[in-house]
Amino acid sequence: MDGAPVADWITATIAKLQDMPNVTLRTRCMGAGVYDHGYALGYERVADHTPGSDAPRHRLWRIRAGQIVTATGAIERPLSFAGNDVPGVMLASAIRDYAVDYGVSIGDRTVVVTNNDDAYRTAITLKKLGLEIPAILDARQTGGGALAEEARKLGIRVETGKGIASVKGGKRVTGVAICAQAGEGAALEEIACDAVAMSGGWSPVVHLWSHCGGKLIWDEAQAHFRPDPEQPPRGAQGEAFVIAAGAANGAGDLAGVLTDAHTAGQAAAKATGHAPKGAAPKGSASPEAALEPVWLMPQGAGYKLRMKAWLDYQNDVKVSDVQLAAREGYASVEHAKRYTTLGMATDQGKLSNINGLAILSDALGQPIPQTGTTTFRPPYTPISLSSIAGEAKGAIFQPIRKTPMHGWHAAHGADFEPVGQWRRPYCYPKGEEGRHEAVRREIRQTRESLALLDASTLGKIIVKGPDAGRFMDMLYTNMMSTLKPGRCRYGLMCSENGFLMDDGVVARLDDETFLCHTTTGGAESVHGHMEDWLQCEWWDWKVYTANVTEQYAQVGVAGPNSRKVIEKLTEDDISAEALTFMGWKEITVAGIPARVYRISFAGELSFELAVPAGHGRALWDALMEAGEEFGVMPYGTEAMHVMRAEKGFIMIGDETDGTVIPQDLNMDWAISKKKEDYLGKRAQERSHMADPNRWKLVGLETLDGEVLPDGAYATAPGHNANGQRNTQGRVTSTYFSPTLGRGIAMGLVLHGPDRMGEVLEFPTLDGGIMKAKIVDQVFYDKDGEKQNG
Amino acid sequence: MAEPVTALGGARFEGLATIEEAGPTGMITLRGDLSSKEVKDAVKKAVGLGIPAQRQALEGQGTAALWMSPDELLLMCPYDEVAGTIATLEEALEGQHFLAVNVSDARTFLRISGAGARETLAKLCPVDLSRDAFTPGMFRRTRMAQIPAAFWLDESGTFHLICFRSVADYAFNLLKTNALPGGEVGVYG
Repeated sequence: MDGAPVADWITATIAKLQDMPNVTLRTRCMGAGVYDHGYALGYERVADHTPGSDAPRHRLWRIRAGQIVTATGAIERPLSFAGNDVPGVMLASAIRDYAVDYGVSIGDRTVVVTNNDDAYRTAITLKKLGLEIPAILDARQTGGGALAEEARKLGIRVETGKGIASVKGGKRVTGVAICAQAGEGAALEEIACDAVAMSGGWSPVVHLWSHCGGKLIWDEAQAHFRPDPEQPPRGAQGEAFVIAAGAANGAGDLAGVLTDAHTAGQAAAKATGHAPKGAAPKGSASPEAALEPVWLMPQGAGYKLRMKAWLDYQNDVKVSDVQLAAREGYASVEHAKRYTTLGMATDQGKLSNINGLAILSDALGQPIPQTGTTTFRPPYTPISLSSIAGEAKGAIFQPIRKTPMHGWHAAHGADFEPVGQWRRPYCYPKGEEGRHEAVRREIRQTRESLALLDASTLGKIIVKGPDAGRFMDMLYTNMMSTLKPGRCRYGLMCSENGFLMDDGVVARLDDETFLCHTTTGGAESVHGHMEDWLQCEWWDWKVYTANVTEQYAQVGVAGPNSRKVIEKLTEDDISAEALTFMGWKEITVAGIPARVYRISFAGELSFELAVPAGHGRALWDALMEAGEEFGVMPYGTEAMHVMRAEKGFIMIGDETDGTVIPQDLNMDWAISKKKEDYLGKRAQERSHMADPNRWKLVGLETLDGEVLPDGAYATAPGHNANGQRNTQGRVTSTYFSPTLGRGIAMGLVLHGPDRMGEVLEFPTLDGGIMKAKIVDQVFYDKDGEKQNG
Repeated sequence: MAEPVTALGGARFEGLATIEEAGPTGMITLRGDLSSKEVKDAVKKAVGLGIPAQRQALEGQGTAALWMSPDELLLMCPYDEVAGTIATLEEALEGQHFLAVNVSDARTFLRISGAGARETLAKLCPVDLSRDAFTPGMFRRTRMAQIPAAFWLDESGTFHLICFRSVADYAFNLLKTNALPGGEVGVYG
């Protein structure tokens, strides 16, 4: 180039680019994919070559580019002749690179077989390095151009119109039988050799161009697909954002490549608002004779030769296989690919694609462009999964949400369970105690004296504004606008389709402000649900919301001694008269400003204390210390679940699964009859939702006191259309109740509430049957007196 | 009342960038009509600052006004002045439709400074953090790896980042991992 070797120009250009402050140059980086709106993925092998360094091995670049220039070069194609898979048969350019770049000789005697001039360079190079070229077999009747002349001058035997009939040797090439390309493979002569350098022409690497919709055109003269400049990948405004350059654009010799690449660079500069200057470097070029497409060698090869002529080396697909696919009717290139597995190996058809579809086109009797290519999908070559995962491993594999008391739980042996991204203590086993024993102990302690629950994860959403009451009446099935400041109300929230999606206690803070408690997992989605309705449907309602879930640490103080322990820490009046059931007030506990809610999920006298998160741990510590005289202990989510089930309270996600409506749970009491509308109301009036045959919630009591399996179905007589047993109900919650000393369960049962006392049969996984009686779902303290202390 | 405890207890890491937890900071979510004179006056009274433009952060003496959305600001003030600041807002906005709520304890507040600060954040957030594109006074709500986060850049080149309190450990370890020596990218020169 410009009179100097290409390698010198490359070295100088890289040095120049490295010195430019506005250039980011990555020489160990592959463009892995091109996506919408100029988004490209780069795969950088940062430290593969420096094992043991501190640097990450791989890095994935996410690039938003104004313009992308793909200078991805071209890939040489094999020739399809019998025995082209014998070790020692290689691409002509590969043999040349081994010799020039690495000083490796593939064989002493190399036969070159080609349909184009470029392979002559391999012959000339090897010859000049002192290796033997027994013959160059040029399939073209008319032979090559200037390079052929040069080869002859070096004394190399050049045979035109000839090809390889078959390769001799099994584990290693020992020779080739040559034949007329125009014939059917009759051997004219055998030539002994150690290697075969083949070249079937060059295919531009069009993958990055094609990933995001760039189209290709068939270049008849060069027998390859190249980017169609009229149909590039386009951005949102219809603007082209990928430009192919050089060999990737189908440019041929060095001079052509340089001119084309320079034009591409200038076009990209212009498209991004720059004024390009400078001229393209000059590349020397010798006139080359035109390539002649050779898809099968010899052209009339019989079946025996065709079944040894490999197209896809990795997946063992031969010319005969693709022809069979065509005969079987796989006319679409995508179908033929999947039938034969052509191009489905790790190289994704980089070597086999064009040869394979040329054979297919021939078999179908149609031109190559009509057959088309298979789809080019990113990444260009496989990238490591670790580059995609990035830092997401070990401690930061995923975010773990922790409450202000998390450290205490961990230090006191909490057995955590995931609840969304939170980690909540399932229970706190002591010493040798197992999970079950710990849960039973925690329940007994709560029912008999005093226990604490970290309830900080519950969602807390502020709803405020002149229209807040109206909004709350739409969100919840029951009436919320009538709630008085200082009071709490349990509410149900349904989706527009009528299904129960969340529940919780709402506290009215003042005339304009409500605080909605949601389930732990529902905080973000319920907040999103509220904003969705406010922003998209009721945009003229004066309501603001704020998710304040994490502002507060919340502690459930439960048990007959709960009031006593809080009274030890406050001077405010929280007596039964001053703070009635479902009331709340602001008090100071252990010197911390707090809201205290007198609500109960466990069924005992209990309170929830909410304090700023930064004081949560201090509150917890103070309660643990003050509760010592009552034998205080923490309880986990499982004890909470069992105790609520003993009380017959539902749990979102157990009694509901996205198909359950409040009416199924006999919660008509929580559905306002006075309101004109609420989200889900109309859906619940539809025939299927109002169907009296919908399964309804009941309690289930096994006859022998055993625990029913979770999710078990109650069978009914007969079989359904699929030959399965008919069913009439299923278990939604099931536990061993330490309070009752037996298994308790809830379930949805056909006409359940009308069938009290009936016995249902539940087949178990081991083939047995468990019998359970339909009972009231409230197992413990039916009159609700315990919550009054 | 004892001092509030932050999620990270003032943790600090020095690597390609310095990551440190700021102490307790007062934060107030203010929602209202940001174009109204009343809100403008109320913010002025409360934190001595104007209304930040879209994706802008305004800083005062121990205060800040951050643009969160077309109808939401995050106001900052000293932790123990939150109640007073909210009272000022409520008084100034009497009769208006607005929401001012204390979220000081719901957040973790981190500072990322030093030569590698831009790069550390750029590895984690889908934000163009080049010097030309992200300049002092800019504020961005975004995603930091797998969590929501928001940050602004001050004149001294320090980033101030807010995320939820529950993910403080994750956020800190995330920033720390991405600021480990050896992970230099060098893309911002």
